[in-house]
Parts: sequence; structure tokens; C-alpha cells
Amino acid sequence: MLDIICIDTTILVNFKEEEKFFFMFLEKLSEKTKVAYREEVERLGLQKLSDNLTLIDEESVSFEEFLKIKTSFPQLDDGETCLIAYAVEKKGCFMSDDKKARKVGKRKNIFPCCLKKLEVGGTLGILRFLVKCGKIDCKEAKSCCERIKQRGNYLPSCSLLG
Amino acid sequence: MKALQIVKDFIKVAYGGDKNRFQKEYKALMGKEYSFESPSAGIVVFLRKKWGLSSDALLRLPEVIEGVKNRNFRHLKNKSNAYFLVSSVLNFLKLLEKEELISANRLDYKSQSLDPKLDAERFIEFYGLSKDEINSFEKIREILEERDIFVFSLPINHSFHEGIVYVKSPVFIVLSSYIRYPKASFSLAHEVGHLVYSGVNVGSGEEERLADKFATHLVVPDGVLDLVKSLKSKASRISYKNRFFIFASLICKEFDCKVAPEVALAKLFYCGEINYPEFEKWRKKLLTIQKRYKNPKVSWIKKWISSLGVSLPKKYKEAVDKLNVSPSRKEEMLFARILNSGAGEVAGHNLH
Repeated sequence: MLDIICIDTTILVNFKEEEKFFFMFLEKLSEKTKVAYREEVERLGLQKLSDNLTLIDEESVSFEEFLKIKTSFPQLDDGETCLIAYAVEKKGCFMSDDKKARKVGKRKNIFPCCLKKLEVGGTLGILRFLVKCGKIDCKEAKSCCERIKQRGNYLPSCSLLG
Repeated sequence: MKALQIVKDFIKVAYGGDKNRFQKEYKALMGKEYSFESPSAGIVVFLRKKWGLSSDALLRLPEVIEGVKNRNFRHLKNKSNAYFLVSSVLNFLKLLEKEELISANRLDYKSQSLDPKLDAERFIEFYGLSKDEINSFEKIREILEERDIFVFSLPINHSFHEGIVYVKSPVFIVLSSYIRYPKASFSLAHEVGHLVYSGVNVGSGEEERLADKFATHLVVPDGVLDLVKSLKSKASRISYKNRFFIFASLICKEFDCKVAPEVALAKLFYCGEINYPEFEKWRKKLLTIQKRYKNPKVSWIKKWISSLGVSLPKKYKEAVDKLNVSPSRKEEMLFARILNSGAGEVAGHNLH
């Protein structure tokens, strides 16, 4: 369980300009398979972040599971649906900064990821994880969060920092 | 098994049920054959690469096949992307309807007479359209969209379908963005004709004829018949070689290319002003000469041969904007891949 972590593109977009934090996170989870959605990674030019990620597309999931999720949750896009279906099929976990996708993940019991006894669900969770692991301090995490916010990226409310 | 059934429907619609042809194309695009024993969602990638659409195109495909007028697969044309575009639209509208961001509506005017001329006149009266001017594409679309009947213009392969109307709820119309702008008023009115005659028990061939006549009388009302007649007789006085081009020029200039010359000609035919052989001869000539102009410099010819272009209804775009979903989902719902691929560049008229 939890050997596969499906990372939604919303998180990758947030870390596009803050790659060192993302690489630190990946390094901490070297024994796990980290998965992202190929089409969006390529379309949004996120290849730099995807070096240590396994890129998947719809071919990697069964059409039955994909349809089950897409018909039950029509608000999801194909990328989120694909990653959730993959996490469900491979009994992995899912991370996203998208509210709807997080809700679906919760319902499917794949969200948030439990990493080193810490719940990690999205960008802020990753930063919190790095703080807890001693990789960065609170100040660094906060300024990174601020920079992401300033760029107008996809970030859940700061209450998640909790 | 629902998934396998959808794959089968897909192959029936896109490949006339020819599995081998599908496998060949799938392999060429995806690098390996599709497994029917354990169907993967790879079909979604295939659809995206081939037509620039998301999985929504597959979700309501059976519903579309049931709902549109061509009820049997034998009527569906191979390699036509129309049904995938229509099923995407249907899925998106259902989602917006569920979220209460749009309200589905129906056309309140229904035919009682089976006389297309009378129906067109009553329709014009009922919705306050013009009796003395050409009823343009924009005017007809406005009437429909005020009643929440959405009109989309998407890159449908127009040699197969100029337009499709979904007559069940939510009612909507998808036109081919490749049709010429002057023809768009007729194509839209034709689909409205299907809505007017949808409850009437006539064969599909007869319904097509009724919709054609209805559209002609709706776009070209009786008030402009004399003007069209005089333009035709003016053109007829010119040498045989040039008269067809002159007729097209006169119609386009007079009506600002809001009606195709062949539609104006059809009005003369339906009103008994010209006979069938003459109508057919002129129509064929008009269609031939407009194909000659590839890069015209004259402004009216530019307008005459310009395409309708990709467009989405304003209310629809606003509803998508309000929907609480990720930007990727919004892009899918706004057909961003299609627009970014350059299909939107066919737009001769930026409608929205």
C-alpha cells in the first residue's frame, strides 16, 4: 500500500519555478513510485520536474475504471480522472491542489497520502512535509508559499497549513 | 460491459464497424494494437490525438446516436467526427444543467400545417423576425439563444454533415465551422426546421425536404422575393458565360452576403418563379464558380467564400467560466485544443 504516489499537474505547476523543493520531496521518497500525467506535463512544459517521475496516460488504466470515475464525477478533467483511476487500480495514493479532485480522492480513499506518519495532500502538504523532515525551515516554506501565491498559481487556502 | 460497448459504438460510428481499419489507425497513432480483451482507456488518448477531444466525446455517444435524427448506424458516415463533437457538447451541457448554470429549453413553435411556407411565415410572426429583409444567421441565432437553445459552430467534417440538431433535452444545434458564412443562415434555419417538424410523423427524407423548404422561406421571406426576382432577371440579360457570377455578385452585394445565392435561387424555385431544370443548372454553376476563388482580393468575394468559423454560445462560455472546476477541465469544455490547433482560423467572421 502507498508505494505509488499519483501527483496531479496542479502541484507540478506550483513547483515549476520552485523545483528545488519538489526535488527534495522526491528525494525523500526515493523508494516509492511517483506518477504524473504525461499529456499535461508535456503540454505545460513541465518536463524538467518530471525527471524522477513515471509518466502515465490513459493507456495505463482500464477503460472500465476510467469511465466509472468520469461518469460519477463529471467535473474532473481527463488528467485527474486518469491519475485517480491509476491510484485506485494500483492501490496507491493521490495528491492534488484541486478541490474537486481532492474530494473525489477522499471518497475513493486514496487522498491524502500518508507519508512518514504525515498527511500530504498537495503543495502545502509537501512544504509541511519538508519542514517536518528538517529539509527546510518554516521561514523558507512560508516564503516559497508566498512566491507561488504571487505567481497566481493553483494553491489551496493557507488554512491547510494547520 | 459498458466500456466495451462504448468502444464498439465508437468503432461503428467512426469506422462503420470495421475493426481492422480501426486497429490499423490505432496502431499507427499509438504504436500498438488496442486490446479488446482488457480494454484500456487508451482510446481516450487516441480520440484526443485524432480529433482533439476529451473523453466526454465518448460518454454520451450512445445517447447521441439514439437522439439525433439518424437513428440507425447505417446512416452514419464513416470518419465523420460530428457525433463525437455533438456528444461532447451534450455532456458539457448536461454538466452545466446539473450544476444549475444553464436551463435547458425547447422551441415553443411547432408545425401544425406541414406547409413549410406557412410554417416559416408563422415562425417569423411568432418570433418577430423580419418579413421584408433577409433573416441572417445572427438574427436566427439570437432568437434561439434567447430561449436557451445553444448554437455551436465546430469543425465537423462538412462533406458529411453541415449541422446536427439534438431534439431531446437539452436542445442544441452544432453547425460545421467549415460551411461558408452566407450559407450559415440557411444551415441554421434548416436545423430549426427539424425542431419545428420533430414531432411530426413523416419519414426522414420527407423531414429533410420540409426543413429545406422551411429554411429557404425563413431566410428569404416573401418581402424580398421581388428584389431577388429582379436581380435574377438582371443577371439573365448578361452573356451566358457571366450571368451566374453576376447573379452571385448582385445577391452578395444587395444582402451583404447574409444569404447564399443558391438559397435565394431556391426561393424563386419554391415560389414557382423558375422551373426545376433551370434551378438545378444555376445552382450547379454557382457552386462551381465559388470554388474557383482561392485567394480573392475583392471584398464581396472574400465574404462570399469565407467560412463560418468556430464559435461557442456566449451564455455557454459564461456558464463554463462560473463552473467550479480545474483550468484543464475548462479548457476541455471550451474546446481549447481544437481552437489552438488552428481549426479556429477558418473563422471568416468572429462571431463572439
